[in-house]
Amino acid sequence: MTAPAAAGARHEALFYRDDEEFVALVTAYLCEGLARDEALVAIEPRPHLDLLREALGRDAAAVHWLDMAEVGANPARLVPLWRDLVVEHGGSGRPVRGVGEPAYLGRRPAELVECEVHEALIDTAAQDLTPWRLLCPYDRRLPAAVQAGALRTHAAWHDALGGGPSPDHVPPGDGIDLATLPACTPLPPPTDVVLRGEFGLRDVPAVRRTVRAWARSCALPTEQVENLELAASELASNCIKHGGGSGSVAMWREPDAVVVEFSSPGRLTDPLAGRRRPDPLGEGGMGLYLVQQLCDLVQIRTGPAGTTVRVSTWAGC
Amino acid sequence: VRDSGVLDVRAPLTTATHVCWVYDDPECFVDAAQRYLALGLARGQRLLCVGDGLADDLRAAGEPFGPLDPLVADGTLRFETVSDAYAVGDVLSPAGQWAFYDAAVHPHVHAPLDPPPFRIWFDGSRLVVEGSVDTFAADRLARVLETTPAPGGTTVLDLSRLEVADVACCRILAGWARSLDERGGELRIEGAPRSVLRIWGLLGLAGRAPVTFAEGPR
Repeated sequence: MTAPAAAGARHEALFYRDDEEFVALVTAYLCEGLARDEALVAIEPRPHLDLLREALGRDAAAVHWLDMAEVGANPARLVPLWRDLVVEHGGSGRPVRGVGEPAYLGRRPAELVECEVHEALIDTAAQDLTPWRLLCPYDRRLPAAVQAGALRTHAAWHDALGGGPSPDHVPPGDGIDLATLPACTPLPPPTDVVLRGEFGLRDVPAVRRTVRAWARSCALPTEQVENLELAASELASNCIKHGGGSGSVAMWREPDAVVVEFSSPGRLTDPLAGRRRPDPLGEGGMGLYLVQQLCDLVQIRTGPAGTTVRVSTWAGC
Repeated sequence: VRDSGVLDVRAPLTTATHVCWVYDDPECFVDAAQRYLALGLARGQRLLCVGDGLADDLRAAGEPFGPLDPLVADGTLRFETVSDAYAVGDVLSPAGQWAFYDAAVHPHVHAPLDPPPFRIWFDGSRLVVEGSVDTFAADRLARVLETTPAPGGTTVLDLSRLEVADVACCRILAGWARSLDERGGELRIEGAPRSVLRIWGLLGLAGRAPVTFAEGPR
């Protein structure tokens, strides 16, 4: 694969048909960066990670490798990670060239939706950093909606036969709004019996205890119960502080997940809330970031009617 | 500063009641004090006694509401001398008194109708926090910590009785650790709940706040 040198941030989609094509195209992309003395980062799920290492041979040592299934298990963790990587490797102004495949085969449908949200936000989130370039491979066997989303969120696309600018791409800007982001589709309704309740300031401890008791009743491991309780505490507090002093909590089970959802009247105006690594000694901005780090999947939907944060914990994993 | 008139009975006393009691001789004082303290103990309240020699007087009276040492050890009962309570740093000031009282009985003074979310008490250089400190109680914790005497050296914070700690709580603890560090001291946290350790790691507080963690009696 060949592509013009990036004058600034460049976020491209790569479509491939099988592993052989994937390895050929991505290896060429990385070797091009190697020839230009760029810093190289690869965030790939395990099978692809090993295939690329093997294909690069001794040159693999020049690449910072990360397992997407680990560091990007919750796709929302990828923005702060990418920022850290660009700062770490591009601190002296050296261009950073990355390959990252958040939307890989085997992801749950809800995860793939949030991968598109991530792809829509990363340009804005890292636009202030040293020149970087990121190639995002997409398997042609992924659902058509996922591939259409890739064309909306990447300025350019390529496959083995050619490529060009993405016609549906929406250039990022300061005015990006979660309420109108195409990826932020309405969340599907619960598929099981829902436990629901309203709460105010004095009920926050009760919300914590209720979520903890319910998570235990779902037979989640202790660490997941504690993480969910901690997340519930932060989200309930956010409802009180930013949602007019009250909120509602709903809990239900999906076939492979335990779900807790918080809703409040307040509207979330910062599209990157929870996706910036906060100053731990500063004021605010830490609760939602912590929730993203603690939970397997966090889906945020906001608009004039209010804000909903749905947290999923994979059961039996 | 008191309800009205002269009180000659202790009840009914409610949370945040402030009364003046006139006594005739030391024996009457001990009698009044022990009955008043027993009333608070029966209500599950913590007891703060400011006065010189009161502990000895209560022991001499036969420890009327039970052995004192266990109550002192678990933080239920605390004795302060007049000089320690009213003239910290040899200066008696309204601000100093407010800070002392806030630290001693907080949060009753702020939310008399709610059960206190956390309790905090001092044992020399060791500070014990019990209960829940979330974002709505974190500022209170900060105020208490700001007024904590930190003579230098290692201050031990016992969190083994802390049931809930969120991001805001950890931010306050980290800020206090930095404050102690700037004054030449250091903070050692014992018995931290797993939530604190998890938050500490995820937010990268280890690189920002000089804290030594150790296992406690949890």
